[in-house]
Amino acid sequence: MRRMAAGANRTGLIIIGLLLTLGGLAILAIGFGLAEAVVPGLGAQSDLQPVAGVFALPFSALLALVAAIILAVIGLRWLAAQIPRKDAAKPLRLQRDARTGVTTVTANVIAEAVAEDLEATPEVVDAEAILRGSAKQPELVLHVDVDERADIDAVVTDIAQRVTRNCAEALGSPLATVAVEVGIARTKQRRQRSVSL
Amino acid sequence: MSTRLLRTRPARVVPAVILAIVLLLLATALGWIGVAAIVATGTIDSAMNSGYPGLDALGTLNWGAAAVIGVGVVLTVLGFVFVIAGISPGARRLSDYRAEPAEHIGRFEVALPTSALSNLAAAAADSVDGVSSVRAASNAKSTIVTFSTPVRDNAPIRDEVEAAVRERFESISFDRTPTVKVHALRRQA
Repeated sequence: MRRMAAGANRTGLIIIGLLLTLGGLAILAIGFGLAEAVVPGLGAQSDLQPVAGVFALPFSALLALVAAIILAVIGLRWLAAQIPRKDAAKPLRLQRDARTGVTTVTANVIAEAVAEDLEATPEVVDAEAILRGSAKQPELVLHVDVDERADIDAVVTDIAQRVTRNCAEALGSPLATVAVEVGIARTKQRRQRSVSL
Repeated sequence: MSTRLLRTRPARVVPAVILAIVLLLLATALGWIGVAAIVATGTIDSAMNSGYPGLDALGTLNWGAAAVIGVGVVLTVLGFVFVIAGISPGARRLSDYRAEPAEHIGRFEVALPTSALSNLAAAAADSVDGVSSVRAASNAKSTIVTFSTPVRDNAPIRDEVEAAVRERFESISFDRTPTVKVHALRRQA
């Protein structure tokens, strides 16, 4: 329904995963003496003094600080990207000719009206709507929670024939794409939906 | 136009959050050492080991030491896991529904998430007489229903539950109707 940073997550995982794998394999290759063929003298018995020497170089503390800032920025931006985004449409311009005036409608206004229209269907317990795209190419994303005993085919037909038609009429153009995710609302307590005699 | 509006595969949020937090921890450690070194020596050209002398101990280790090999193994395994998580598409989380197109809709996608399949199956099984509690687990193609019953001879109830869930799924126009498996647990009520 809302957009997640799936592409960024996968790219980040692959890049960091490859770096870790290569680093780990390099350590293992030196540790098991396999790197001696490539770099003579770099065997299992040699110590990590060259690595420790890097930390003793002048200005290395300043470089560590810069690296820390870069890593922190990447980490924070990656975390912030995990917040699901609605990506609703920018205000829709509905006028035919901009010289005679501009008519704009916020996408959320239409989305809320669609959600309310959906909830008018008796079997729909809860509904959320997002309008994306533009006034000429509107994309409607819907999530409906229907009752566990609802006739799902009837709910989908109602969405296809009534709710989306109302939305298309309001926008004045056919909907380019409509995506519906149907969830099931379970009544937790049996008592709430039954009468004991 | 081929990209779907509904996301079918997992977005790998959990491993991404873990890695982002690890990056932040690494940044904190590096920053701490850097600041400590600069504060300790009072000059901008200080080395990292004056902030954290433990770094010098690294020089005494051998490449063949168990600790170094252990770090290498852990890094390789973790890296491999992250690469696999990034490349493999992961389990489908939506079951497609065969939606009838309408003239005012260009493309019509309807889908039920696996949680909806589980809830549908559990609700259908719950309506059968003799069932005391139900659990259902689903992927995009199949559902496994586990119910408990106080009745000793539970084969008829099992068949009835299977029929109820199957009938419920068949009443919905799935692209491919999910298969149903039913397990019974006998439990004293």
